[in-house]
Amino acid sequence: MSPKDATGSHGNPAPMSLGELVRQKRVLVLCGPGGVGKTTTSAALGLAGAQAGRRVLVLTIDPARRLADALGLALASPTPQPVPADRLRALGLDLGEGGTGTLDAWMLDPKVVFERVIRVLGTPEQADKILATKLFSHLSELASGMLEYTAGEALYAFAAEGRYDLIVLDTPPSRNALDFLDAPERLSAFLEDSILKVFIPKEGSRFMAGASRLVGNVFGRVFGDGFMTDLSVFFQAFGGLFGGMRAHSDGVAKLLASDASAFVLVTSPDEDALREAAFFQKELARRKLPFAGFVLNRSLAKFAAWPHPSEFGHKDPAASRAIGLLNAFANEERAEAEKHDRQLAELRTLAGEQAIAVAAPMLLDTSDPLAGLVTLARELT
Amino acid sequence: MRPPDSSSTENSVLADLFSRRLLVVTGKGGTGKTTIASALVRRASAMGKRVIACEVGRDASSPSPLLGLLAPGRAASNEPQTLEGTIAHVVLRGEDGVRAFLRETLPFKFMAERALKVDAVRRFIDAAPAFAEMGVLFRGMQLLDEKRRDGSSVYDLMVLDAPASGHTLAFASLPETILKVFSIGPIATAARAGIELIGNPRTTTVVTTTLPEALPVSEAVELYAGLRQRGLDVGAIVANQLPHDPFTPAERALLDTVLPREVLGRRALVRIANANDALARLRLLGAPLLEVRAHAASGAALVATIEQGLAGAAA
Repeated sequence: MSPKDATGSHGNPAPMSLGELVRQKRVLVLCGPGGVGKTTTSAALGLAGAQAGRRVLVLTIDPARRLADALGLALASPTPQPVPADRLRALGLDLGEGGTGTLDAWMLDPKVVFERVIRVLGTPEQADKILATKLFSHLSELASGMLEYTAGEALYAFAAEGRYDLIVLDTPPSRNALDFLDAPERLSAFLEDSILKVFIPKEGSRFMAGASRLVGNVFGRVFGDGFMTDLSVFFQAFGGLFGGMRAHSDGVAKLLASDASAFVLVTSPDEDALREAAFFQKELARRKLPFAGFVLNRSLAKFAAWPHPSEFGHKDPAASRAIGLLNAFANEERAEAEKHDRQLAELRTLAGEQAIAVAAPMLLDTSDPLAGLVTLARELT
Repeated sequence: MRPPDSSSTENSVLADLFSRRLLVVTGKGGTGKTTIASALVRRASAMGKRVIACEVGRDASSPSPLLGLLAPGRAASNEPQTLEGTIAHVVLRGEDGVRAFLRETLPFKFMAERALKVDAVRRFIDAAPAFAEMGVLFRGMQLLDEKRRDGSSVYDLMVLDAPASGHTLAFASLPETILKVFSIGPIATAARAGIELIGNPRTTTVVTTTLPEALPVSEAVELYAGLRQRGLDVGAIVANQLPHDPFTPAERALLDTVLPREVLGRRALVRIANANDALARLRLLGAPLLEVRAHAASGAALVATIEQGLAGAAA
């Protein structure tokens, strides 16, 4: 290929390694299909950031709570929880020069975040009114994108707060991760003025008035009067908050599109997962979001160099019989390792010159999840 | 490890599953949920049930992986279509359910169509998944209620390839949630019917799929607890992709002493050990456990192999 076009939109000469990303970025967003180990990868990158002396928050919106499992944290909590520094040191980690590195993790609670948004943006009276409605208490079930919207809000709040140098955001499986990017818009479709018009008839074109009447009629009949009252209290109190919510959303969108952020696509050697990752890369490009690279997770790529059991001939007949049985598995694993090597090469081509592709090995010892994360962090960076 | 698919328990578990009206198959992404759902559809049909395979779709262009396994190349439809013999398939769309619901609720049928044509209503339904999901549930109930001329049900059994597990929990408690917000009126009536269907173990049971590894099993245990807590019956847990294990425990211990840690074949040994631990943990739950082996096949061929495995005891 000819030398890079200096007028390209991103002028970076060489793509950053994951090690550089966790040292330099403020936000890392991990996306990918379900079941590829995204949450574990997020935790490992967070750990790597802490090792580099940064104050890190790993924010997961995966309801599977795997991150809590891996980090040994309690499942639900209203605020981020620190992974105790002595636990990290016990695993032989130094936390950067002067031990400044910290690792916090939080499994997002949409209600906590949304309540905070309302308290921050509204007057105390407004907030109390909204929080008292039935609609608010069931909003996460009733309105789509609450989880994704509040993830954006949480990101906004934590980034603005300045308590963390790096926020690693673990998104739900990729189809939903797209939702995460669209969430502010979709939630505002539910909450915003345009919908308000429907419930609180205003002057307008004759057609709109007709439509409103019909809609009011339909909803009144279907939902019953109690709900309509609840709804109008909710929306009236909410009226003034949209501007603030919109400003936050714009702030998140700007932060995610900026140089301070990077998107990492996690995939597994599974063909479907690879296809989805490729699809996601295009999607990021379309949205002009900064794509940093692929992680081929749970790969055997490095195993190809391991010795074959047949090299360990044994005099003991029982051992040699067992080794004989293992040979077939070893052959399979070698073939698979070679396939993963090829997949990694393909991902490198796909990543192009501005991004990277890294293989993360399948973790064989899962007895201590945190120790596994340390291994993974080392391999990734 | 006990060789899978080898006892008659599988058959009685299946007969029990297929005696219900609605079988919800769920599990984390990557656990083979759709493959297992397809195999169950085929097995139910082979055991004489008129079965309708369902998956949830947003619109016409949504992928339909279940149909892809049951009848590769066939175009999906939101109207039931017969695939072969006693197997039918349908894509459940929230919008269809909402339409059906509105037609039943509003005094004039044309009002439902008119209402759905109003942009704000469409966007409202789109933005409020609870309504789309109630629509899915309503549509499902409608299909289960369909009768032949002789009064018997058109479908004995509905197998739903449900969205991934976290979502399924929300879906399962949806009617309850709806009922808290709308305590009276037509929505409440529909929600109560939903609770009656889903909450009754004689009509509905859940099959969860998991992989025999530490983390997936932790998730399966959590899902099991969540489903039970919401009053749902768990008819079976499927431990999928169990590794082939030709070793005795003594042989595996021996290999650990004579081979280095880093050796090809190590992953297989680790997998076997993990699978044994996983099965032990799953057995503790007390729900019927279906053990399905890992197979090299994929797609429709894999479904056929698993279905034969499930049928094994009958042969």
